[in-house]
Amino acid sequence: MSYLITQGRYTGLIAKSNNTAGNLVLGLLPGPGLVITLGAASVDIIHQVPIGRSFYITKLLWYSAVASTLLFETLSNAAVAVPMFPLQNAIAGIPGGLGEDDLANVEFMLNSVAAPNGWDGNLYVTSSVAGVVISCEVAEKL
Amino acid sequence: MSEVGNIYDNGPISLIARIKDTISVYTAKKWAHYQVAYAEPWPRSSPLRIDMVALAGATIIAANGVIAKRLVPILQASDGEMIHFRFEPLDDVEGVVYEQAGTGKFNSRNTHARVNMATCLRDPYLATTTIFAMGYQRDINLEVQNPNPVPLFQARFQFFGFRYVLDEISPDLSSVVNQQGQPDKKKQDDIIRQLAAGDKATVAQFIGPTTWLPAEGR
Repeated sequence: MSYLITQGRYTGLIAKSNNTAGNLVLGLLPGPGLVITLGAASVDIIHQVPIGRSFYITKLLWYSAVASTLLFETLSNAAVAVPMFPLQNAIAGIPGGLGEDDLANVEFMLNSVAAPNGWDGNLYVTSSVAGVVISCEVAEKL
Repeated sequence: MSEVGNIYDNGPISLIARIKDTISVYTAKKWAHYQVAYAEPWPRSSPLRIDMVALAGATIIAANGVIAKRLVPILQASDGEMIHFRFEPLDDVEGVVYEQAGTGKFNSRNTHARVNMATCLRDPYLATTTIFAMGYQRDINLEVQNPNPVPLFQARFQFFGFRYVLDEISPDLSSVVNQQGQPDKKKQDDIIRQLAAGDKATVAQFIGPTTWLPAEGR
């Protein structure tokens, strides 16, 4: 488990897995479970930040049967996806992932400043092909 | 660990009075004075765990939703009993306590504090969740808030602490007599009123050393 979480007693972080899986563009209702991406036109939600909290990603796992790219993003208040990490490759048939040592320590939090400057602080992904399965682990700061 | 602690000690929970010690409890709008007849621990265990979603007869607590305050049966005491406990949620929900259904606990003029999953991160012994509940019909009610933007299927709370059996103390007022040596009813009534009001000097004289504690929202 993440050192962020094992030291949570000092940092005030609790572990969570991705809490939502859905698609903003298609208007699918978010629900718990693995995220299955819907393709290049879709901004798929992975984790929604609860009110009054923020979070760090501590692990990302993915699997795709065909080669794909992945962009992990948050959403500006003008509903534009803003990448938070460099583009990642999902290699066909081989599980991939990033741990917290590999990830830049981005703190996802709401910025309620009006568009275009604010953002919602949720974690989203856009994949180049549909059907990439994604799981994530986050540490939420309370 | 201290054998007998102050009532909100920030260490591990411990007895606030020994057997045969005296406690003065604010309950039913007055101070009542008791001797501890018996005390036993209430270890943290599955019978002291409750899922508020199930208790409410629901299947979920809605996204950012509430389970309205309700009686927690495992925290009900009999007459002559007092429970002393701390608690925490095991799921990512927040507990809002009412001691008597209409009286908020942990509140101030403008706010009502909650206990959440992070409470134990900075207060590892959960001292800030300490509650005393006394006797029949003076029960804890618990409201649950879901801060998450997704529904949750369980909202479990774990309780632990101590249970005390109490004997009410009848002060010996036989020495309160008038100049003719007869019982001075007026003065005796006045002393009984002073004891109920929690007058420190009167309690010291007629009850003796005591531990003061609140058992309801005040």
